[in-house]
Formats: sequence, structure tokens, C-alpha cells
Amino acid sequence: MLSYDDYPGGVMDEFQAKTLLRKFKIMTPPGVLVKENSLPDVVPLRYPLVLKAVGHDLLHKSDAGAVILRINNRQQLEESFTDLSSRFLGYKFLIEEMIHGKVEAILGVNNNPTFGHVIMLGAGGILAEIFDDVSFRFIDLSGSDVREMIRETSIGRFVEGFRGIKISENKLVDTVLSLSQLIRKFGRNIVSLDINPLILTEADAFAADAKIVLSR
Amino acid sequence: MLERLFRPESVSLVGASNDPGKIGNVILKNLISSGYHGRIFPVNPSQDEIMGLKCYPDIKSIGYGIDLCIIAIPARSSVSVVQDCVSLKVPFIVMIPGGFAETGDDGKALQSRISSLIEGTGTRIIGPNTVGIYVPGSGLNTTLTPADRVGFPSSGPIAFISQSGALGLLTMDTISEFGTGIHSFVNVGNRSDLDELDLLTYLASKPEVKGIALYLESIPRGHDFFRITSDVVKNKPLVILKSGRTETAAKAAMLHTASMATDDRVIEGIFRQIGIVRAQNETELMDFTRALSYSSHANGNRIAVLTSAGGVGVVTTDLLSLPAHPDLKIAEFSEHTKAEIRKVIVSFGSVQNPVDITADGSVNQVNDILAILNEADEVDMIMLYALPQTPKMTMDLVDVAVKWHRIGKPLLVGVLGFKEAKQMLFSLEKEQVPAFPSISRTVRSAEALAKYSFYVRRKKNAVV
Repeated sequence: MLSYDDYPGGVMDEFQAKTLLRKFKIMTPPGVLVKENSLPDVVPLRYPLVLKAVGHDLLHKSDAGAVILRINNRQQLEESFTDLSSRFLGYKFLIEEMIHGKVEAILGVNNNPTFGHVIMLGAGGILAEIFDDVSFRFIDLSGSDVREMIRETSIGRFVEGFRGIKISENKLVDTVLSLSQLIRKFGRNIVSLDINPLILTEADAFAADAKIVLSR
Repeated sequence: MLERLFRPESVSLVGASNDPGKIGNVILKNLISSGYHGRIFPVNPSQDEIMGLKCYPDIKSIGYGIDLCIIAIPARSSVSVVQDCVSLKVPFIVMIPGGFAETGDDGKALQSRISSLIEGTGTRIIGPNTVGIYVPGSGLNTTLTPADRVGFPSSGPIAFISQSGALGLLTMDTISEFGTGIHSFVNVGNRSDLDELDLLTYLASKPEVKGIALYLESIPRGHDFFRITSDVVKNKPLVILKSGRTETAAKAAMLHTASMATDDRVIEGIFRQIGIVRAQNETELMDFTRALSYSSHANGNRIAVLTSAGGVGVVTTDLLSLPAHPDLKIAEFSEHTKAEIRKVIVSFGSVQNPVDITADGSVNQVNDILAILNEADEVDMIMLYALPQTPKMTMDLVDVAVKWHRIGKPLLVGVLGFKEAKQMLFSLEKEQVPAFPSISRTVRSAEALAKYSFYVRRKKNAVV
């Protein structure tokens, strides 16, 4: 059971949220958390990398300038780290491999006053609100429900392939069902959860960013 | 079981009146004029007789078992009547008066008193703040609109539940224009006790109910709603008009999902998941329920259109091609189908879909082409325009439509015009052929049937 009091303001930061997702076999990009204010000598990840400041008050990291993308070598990594750690004092930092995928989706959960937890899949990743191309279901859903959700949105176009871009429908279905299981097991205090973007590739579905907000 | 609510053997009307301005007067008139076949006991302490019926000072002095007590007196005085009903073990109360939870804290307190009076007893309440119930099959009519001013539908296969009394009454008035029949109408009002889900459970169990229309302003008991409606749609179509599509999702929501989780989007998805067909207005609510109740379901979503007016076919095609309506596809005819149609129609007609038999078209041609389309594997459902304005399109068209509706693929009929068209609509409705007085209503209803057919096939596949 997740408890509001274990997280400042009831917000699980990106690293905590992703750790929970991985327990339910939802894939996240390979990454390491840097707790002290110094970069380890060896970072066991493949370039290009992404560096992010992580904290419960950084729900919208891009807006806050807390993300540096496309880090191609050690020198750039060191420069980026110096930059970010000087601007975000007292924060932790997450270094992750950058996932290449042309299709970005959003997958999330919200606790609805009428129906309880509902699950949402949508196109557009962080631009989802602009495209308004989303589909909701009751949290207790089947694989065929997920396949219908996929086809209700433009994500469905990539199942058969569009201009050479293809996604793995099975991995996406598994990811949605895993999230449904997570909520049914640990969801009681979860008010809202975002996996955004969920990057869809021909072989996998990666939770590139994740946030969870808890209630008391 | 709500059997005695829908088919009471005896009814008492508290607040019955000789004064035509009183609700208790209209309800008694409606009970009598609807041909209610049980015993009626008017209750009013200041009258001895009303409309030729013996009047009682209170329900205790009736001395006869009451199945249904209609309360048509002001809110405050009604509490003691509820108390009497409980002690007399009256199974059902229809509580007409307003002035309860809808009016503020005092009203809420009054409603809670009534709820606590019936708690744990065998007495159930519809309302308060309701226009009541109308069941043409048992002649029960507790509504408060004068029967000489509005149309009440005859007996039919559609059950209609409405959270709003006025919307329910005016919709019934509207559908009686072409003779649509209903099994029952119930206005749940403030739903202090019985709600839509209780009624759905009962109505779903009645074989004579072929489809259910539901007007909702708010969803009752979310988790039960999911479970109960999922059960209902296993046996019959359920069409819901859910009003109040407000953007109530937390505007200040911290996360994207939360800010996008508006009632409208959530309900759209959950209705699909359950297999509920959603209507956008009161016309669609009844159109869709008729289409789904009268039709068999289609094996696919490819539709053939048959018309004697080219323009009607073009407008239909345009509507069907809108990207917002993916549930229905225009069938592409095989060469064989086209060749067969060519044998039947004039050289300048169209053998493509939509088939245009032109103003020269006759009832016999319609019959022959319907036969071809019913044979064609590439066609799952058929839309026929019955346009009685040309010389050879006579009322015989009705018989042809009825025949193919009964033996063939799902058939929806658009009837445009007024003079003879009106009679044609009336005749088709009588035979329970889904017919609609405009192109867009026909198209939208066809989409609803395609969507429902998809739900039925999905359910079948899930069982295998």
C-alpha cells in the first residue's frame, strides 16, 4: 500500500514512480540515479543519454528546464551535470539512455468520482491535450478492450505500419494491462498517474517519464 | 421484484380532487382514461366521491390491500402518508411532490426522513419529485399531464426511463406522432430509493421489452452501474442519453491524464467498454432505441443504400464519409452484384452504391434490388429511401419493406416528405420497421445499429 505520508506532498518523483512501474514489468529506459552531487566515474549506459533533475516538486520538468536531452559523450555529460546541479541544488539526478521511437503516446490513470479508477491511452505524448485523441476505460479491462482503445485513437494507424513506422501492439497491450494490475494492487491511494511520454517502438513500449500523485 | 409497481392490482391516490386545477384531478383522469384495469381508491378527507368513485379520508380507512399508493399532496403533509403505507405494508409508493432534496437543506432533511421511514421495510419509493409511471399494458398512468393535451404512446417493446419528468413526457408526446409504442415509462425523480439500476434490472428480465432508452443527468452508483448495465446489454440493447457533458475534470489537475479525464471522455469510453449505445439528444435516444429494438443485428458494418432520388444518395454518402463516423462503411459492390442490378434498373440509373433507380423507379424494382442486396456477401445492412413523391412509388412500398425487414438483413428506411410520407412512416412503425423522417436521422440510426451489432459480435467472440 502506498502512503501519502511517505512522499512529500503525496507526489512520487520520477525515479520512485518508475521503480514501481518496473515491479509490474512496465519497461523504463535503462538509467542510474545520482544521489550525491558528483557524477560517477563510470556510467554503465549507452549514449546518447538524457539527464534530468528529479524531485517531488518537479512535476513539469521540461517547463522548469530540468531536462537535458541528446548527451552524446562523457564531456557533454559532465558539462550538463555541472549546469543542472548548479541550478537544482539539493535535487537528485537521473541519467537515462535516450529511447528512439517516433510514436509517443500517453498512458495514465485517474480516480474518477463516479467510476473510481479509469485508465487512459492517447496519442501525442506530451502534446496529448492538443491532439485530444484519447480513449478511456474502467480500470478492470481485458486485452481486447485495450486493442479497441488503440484503434479508437490514431495510435492504431501504427499497428499495421504507417510510412515505415510500426509499433508493437502486443507490448502496448501488455503495458496497459500491467498498469491496470498495478492500480488494482496498489492503487487505493493513487489519485492520478501519468506515463508521458510512453515511447512506442517496433519491439517495445518504454515509460520515458512517469509521475504518481497520492491522496491521504 | 417490481412486478406490482408496473402491474398493480389496486391503486390509491392521495390528494385526489374534483378541482381541475389540481394535480390529483389530472392523475385520476389519466388513470381512468388510460383504462387502468385494477381498483382505484381516491383519498381526500374533504370529499365523499370523486369522478364517480368512493373517496376515503385516509388510506387506513380503505380496508383493502393497496399495491401502489400515489402521493399527490405537498411535501410536508406526505410524510405521514408514507408512515401509513409502511404500517399497511403497501409495497410501492409513487411520490409526486417536489420540495425535497432538490430545494436545499430543509428539503434534504425531509427526504432523509422519508428514506429512514421505509428503511428495512417492504415499501419502496419512486421519487419524490417525479411525474411517475406510465405502463400502457396495464393502463397505469400516474403522470400529471392532461391526456387531452399530450399524446401517450400505445403498448410496444421499448422501455423508457428518465431522470427528467418533463423531457420524458415531451419525448413520449413526440414519438406518439408516428405511433411508436412503449412498454413503460418511469421518471425516477430524486431517486431517494429506487433508481435507474433497479428499474433496469427488472426491465431487462421482461421478455416483452426489446430495448431500453435511458435519459440520465448523473450516473447512479458508479460501480454497480458498470456491473448491472454490463448484464443488461447481454440480453437487450441499451441506449443512453447522458446530459451535462461538462468539463468537470479538475482544471487544476497536476497531471495530463487528470486534466483530460472529463465526464464526457470517460463516459464515452466506458459506454463502449460496456456496450451501451450513446445518444446525443432526445431524438436520437428514441430513434436509436427503435432501430435497435426492431432490428436483428448485422454481421458487419458495410451498408448498401437504395434510393430513387440521386441527391438523397449523395447527401447520405457525404454523411457516411465523415471521419467522425467510422462505425459504418459504404459497401463496395462486386461485379456480379452490379450486373444483377443492371438487369433491373433503367440504363441511366446507378448500379454503384448508392443504387439510384431514379424517379422512374417502381416498387417492383425496389423489391428486386432488395433481393439482390440480401444475396450479396459484401453487404451487411441496407438503407432504403422510401420516397412517395414519384408516381410508381406507391404505398405498396410498405409491404416490400416489411417483408425484407422480416426475412433479410437489417433494413432501415428513410421516408422523406410530408403528405403521403407521414402515412408511410406510420405504417412502417406499426410493423416495427425502423423508419426515420430525415436523411441524417436515418444515417445516425444506421450507425447506432452498426455499433450495437459490433457489440453483439464482440460478446459472441468473447464467449467462444
